[in-house]
Amino acid sequence: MMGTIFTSTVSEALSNRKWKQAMDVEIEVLNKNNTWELVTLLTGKKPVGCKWVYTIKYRADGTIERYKARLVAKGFTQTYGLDYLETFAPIAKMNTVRVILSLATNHDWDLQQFDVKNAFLHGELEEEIYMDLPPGYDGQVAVGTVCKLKKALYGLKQSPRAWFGRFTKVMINLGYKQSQEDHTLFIKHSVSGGVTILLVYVDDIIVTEDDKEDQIILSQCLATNFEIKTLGRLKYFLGIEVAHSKKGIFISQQKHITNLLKETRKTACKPVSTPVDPNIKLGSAEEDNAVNKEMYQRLMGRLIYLTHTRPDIAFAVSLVSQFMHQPREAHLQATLRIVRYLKRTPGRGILFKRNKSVALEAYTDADYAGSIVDRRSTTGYCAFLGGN
Amino acid sequence: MTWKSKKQSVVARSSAEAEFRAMAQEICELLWLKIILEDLKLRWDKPMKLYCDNKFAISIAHNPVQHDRTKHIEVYRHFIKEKLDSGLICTPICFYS
Repeated sequence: MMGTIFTSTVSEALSNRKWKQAMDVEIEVLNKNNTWELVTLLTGKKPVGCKWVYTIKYRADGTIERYKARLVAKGFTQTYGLDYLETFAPIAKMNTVRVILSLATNHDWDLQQFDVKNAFLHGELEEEIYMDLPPGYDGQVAVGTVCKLKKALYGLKQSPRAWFGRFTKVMINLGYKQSQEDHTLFIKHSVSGGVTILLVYVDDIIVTEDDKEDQIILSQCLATNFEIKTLGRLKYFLGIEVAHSKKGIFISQQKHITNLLKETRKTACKPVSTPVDPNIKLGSAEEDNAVNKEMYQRLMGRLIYLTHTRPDIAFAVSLVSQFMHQPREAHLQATLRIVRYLKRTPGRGILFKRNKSVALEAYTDADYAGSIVDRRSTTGYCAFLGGN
Repeated sequence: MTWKSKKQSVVARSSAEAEFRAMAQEICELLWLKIILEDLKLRWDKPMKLYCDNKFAISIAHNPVQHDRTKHIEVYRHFIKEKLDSGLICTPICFYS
């Protein structure tokens, strides 16, 4: 599902029936959620501003799915130490995601996916925060009235942390144990020896278990605490496509690659069979022309994200990303070679096979003094769990 | 299932030293994996196999003789030796051909 942000002033939006409807829905959700109470602003307190963000959501076939209005707080006006303190919130490690997928395949566990609607609105605020009245809905009350926030709102600095804290609390109340190795992993062992594993990535949740009953209880419990959208069997998670077959589970990022090719205008390029030219040693290339830094860095970001399912380009990406601070023509050419390699092999990914084992194996190597800039070496390793 | 390619933070004086650092880092990753699996009550008591294609690196991992050429990687050496002694890992020799 894609969305485009639609720029419009509040008065314009209010005169449009569709946008007005969307805004009413959002205000209703906020009221139902008990997000704020109206108070008169005390002197010396400064409220944060807020604004509406309008988005048109499209279906996969390009037709309009719905109009969405979201009230966001202007978090950038908050002051550290006064309006917020801690803001860190963990997200799942990709390694953990793969561990879960590998185990699920090996043990034939079912993988389910859930999505929490309006996730950040569930977070409870510890700080005292005042916010201006939402534009377009500030008519009926006395001047000087502001919203005193009880729950988090999109845009606040502490919202992600507040949401994750709330989620952790709910899971622990349900009898789940938070893993110390990855704080986004929650585990519950049943009396019969079964296990339920839950992994959360902001508002996306993956659940796997060997006990059908436990999963039903879990989804019911989640639904009573939050508003949950059940997405069924794991298919698409964080831009990673998950395919189930008789052999096992296959993950790939084909869509991501197609978009990358489009963005770099390499859709019609000549494919190559290797990601790096073995005859070229990449250095700082100071005599070359400098290239657009922002573009280069964005490209790096996309390629690094691709390495989640593509260990074959891991080395190549780590090589070209060493020049992110000062990219030159030679580096861009090397990067585009990776893109051309991807064009040849867009469907590659990782296959998790059913091997019925939990053996851990690892392979390491290092190239000695591989960098021609400072003669440092590069480490490479990969670990296999149960043959995957 | 997990992989990484990373430029090392210091200059290695021999290829064995470079391999050695790679081994130490991989062991850390394996330890993390093992703890995650233990959390899930999946125990694996046999030693984890760690493959490395440098014979010298493997030899000094097993027999850390105080040598002037290995003195500067002491911390890594003792770390790897400790894990080898406790039977957590083993290092079958494999060569790239």
